[in-house]
Amino acid sequence: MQTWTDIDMVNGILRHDEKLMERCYTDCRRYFNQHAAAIFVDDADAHDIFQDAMIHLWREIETRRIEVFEGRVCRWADGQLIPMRSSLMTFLMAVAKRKNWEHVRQQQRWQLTNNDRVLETLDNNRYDKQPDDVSETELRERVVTDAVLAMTERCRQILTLFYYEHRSLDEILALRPENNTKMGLKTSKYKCMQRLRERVHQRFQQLKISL
Amino acid sequence: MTDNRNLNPDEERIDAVDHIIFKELGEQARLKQKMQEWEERKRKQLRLRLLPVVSNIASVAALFVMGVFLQAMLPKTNLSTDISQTADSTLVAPPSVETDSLNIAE
Repeated sequence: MQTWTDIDMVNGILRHDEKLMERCYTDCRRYFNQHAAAIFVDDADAHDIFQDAMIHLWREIETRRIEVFEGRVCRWADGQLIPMRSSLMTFLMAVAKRKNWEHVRQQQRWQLTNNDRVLETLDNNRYDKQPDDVSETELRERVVTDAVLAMTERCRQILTLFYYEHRSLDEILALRPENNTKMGLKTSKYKCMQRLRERVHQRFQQLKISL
Repeated sequence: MTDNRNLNPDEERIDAVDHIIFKELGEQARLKQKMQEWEERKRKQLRLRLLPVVSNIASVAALFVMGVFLQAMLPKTNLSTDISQTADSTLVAPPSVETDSLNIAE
């Protein structure tokens, strides 16, 4: 049974309350499992998609795009703080659904038709009007967060292993049998990083953010 | 917050944005790691909760197997032969009795 409110979840994540975060995670996982069969075809992918969606939600809260204002859970959209009409659990499911569509589209090159109202305010127009109390550093971090979240799982894995875990190319090659050669892996890593840099720089220019 | 200023020696040139990218990669990896820990803890808790149930089932199953084994070991055939022998002896009257009774009637 869920023993926390959305406000508890937002505040808990902000103050890094691990016990509460774990409880939220477990409850969200249970809820997701109950409804996953109706949404996801492949069970193995469902687990990864859930974790990606959870990271998305956490980062939204940690970077204060979702926050509690005057006793309500609100979300920054179009330069305004708007009270959320859905619960965080519903928001999480919507993110998972969208990630699933993207995953399917990547695999089968299907046309993405996003008609999910919960996500109406996501992505492209989000930073066009900069909120007064968001510093440029925060805004810069948000842009990068989004760009990293939008990367493919393959790219994220390669870059994380290389830049975060400081693994050598040989080690990554052993961990990822999908990459056949060291040269191929090196090219993949370079292309992923280039694409990420380009996306971030492009967004910085659009928002007139200095480096 | 995780700081990832230590660069992989294999890496080439980096720019200012890269530092923010590394930091973000670190943040997301950290969250993923936490989730794996929670998943593992949940699995352990489930195992601990299931252990008494499983051991109960195992002991019941062991008793059942032992019962079957003992039943198979019992001298079943001898017993049944004895019973049938007893039954035969009670059902079939000795011919002498009939003859005797006839004699009495006469």
